[in-house]
Amino acid sequence: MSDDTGQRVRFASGERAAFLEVYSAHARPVRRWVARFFKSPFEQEEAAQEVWLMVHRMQTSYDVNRGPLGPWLRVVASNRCRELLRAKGRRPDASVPLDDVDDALWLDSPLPDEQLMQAKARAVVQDFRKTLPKEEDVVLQRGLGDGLTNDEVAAELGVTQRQSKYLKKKLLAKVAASAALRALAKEWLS
Amino acid sequence: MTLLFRRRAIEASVAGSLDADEDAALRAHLSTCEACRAHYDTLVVSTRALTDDADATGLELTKERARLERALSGQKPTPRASRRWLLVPASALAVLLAVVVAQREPDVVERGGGDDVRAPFSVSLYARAKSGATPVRLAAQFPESGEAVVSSDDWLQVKAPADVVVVLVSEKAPPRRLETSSSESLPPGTVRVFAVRAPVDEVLRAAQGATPSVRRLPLASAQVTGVLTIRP
Repeated sequence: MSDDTGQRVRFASGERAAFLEVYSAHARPVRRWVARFFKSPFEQEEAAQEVWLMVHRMQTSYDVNRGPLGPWLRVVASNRCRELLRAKGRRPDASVPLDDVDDALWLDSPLPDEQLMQAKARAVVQDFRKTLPKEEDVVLQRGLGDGLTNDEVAAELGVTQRQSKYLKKKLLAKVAASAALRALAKEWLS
Repeated sequence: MTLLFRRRAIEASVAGSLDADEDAALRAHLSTCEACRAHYDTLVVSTRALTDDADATGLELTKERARLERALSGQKPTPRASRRWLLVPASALAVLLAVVVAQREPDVVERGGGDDVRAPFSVSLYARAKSGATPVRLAAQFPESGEAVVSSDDWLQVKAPADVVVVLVSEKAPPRRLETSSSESLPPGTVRVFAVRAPVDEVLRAAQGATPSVRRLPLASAQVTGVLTIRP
């Protein structure tokens, strides 16, 4: 995570463009921290949205002299996630520290059980990808993985935008129908 | 919405193929339906595994940014009122989202803090026969009574604290946002009532004359819920 003083000054002044730059730089780590509090991807998405709206609201309260934005964002994210959990009548997982969240750099790394699951997933993923035609594999990697638009994927594949959209739809139907992937996801979510 | 249609909509959402309104409607449904949320979660976890992204795929972040920018951008102005009358005829659409957010002083709202630490609240539903022959009656107070029965030929009035959003959701169709105080319709059947404290920034936006966004309200964590039965 890189922090730039000029950007932080603009962020603290409430500038919208600076907020979006900070979002782009920190969106992924914020998702990681939010995932410490919420297992369900849907809840993670809702919580991440709440976190960023809170960050936007508190933008001008950020003190540039306090240093990089990362620790400040981690505290805002953790506090907002705790509030959301309390509103649902739930508590954070025992692995989440109660204090010193701004220094809890280990939050940035995968937990041991995550690493184990990733290792388990590898074989299932490889088997599934072997069944995909090349075009659908490109859609998977570039469309879903990298977040390219249908137009961009279409340009890479040399097909129309409509065909690219169709390939993505077909791919998702295959993912949804895969018993092996469903079992993997179920284990991951349990 | 049929189960198959919902599943297709969920797949389209994970693929990023839904437009903003469709996606918002689906998310409102997901916040109340555990089965659909489980299907959504399974698909998202599967795509994350396939793209080797443990936290979020690139497409998820692209969608998140788009939702965030929409939430932050100025909404179109709309007149605000603390109470709205809704028409409930028999020939109806399946879902009604009633948004009740009224003007409030920002400093008062700011003192309220997070949405889980403010005082508990209740929501009152009043009903009046469309014919006007009978006086307005108190149909229910949520969460005290938990349920209410009204006629499909009734007008409904929702009364709630100024920073509370009241949402009525039927199981028969995707949620639809109530943009104005014009007449809306509900079919006979059962409607679930959710009431959530609007996030502070939403209340501020409403106070500034912008349309509040209901798409990201955590209905699953609604502090007040109830059931509304619409008689034919």
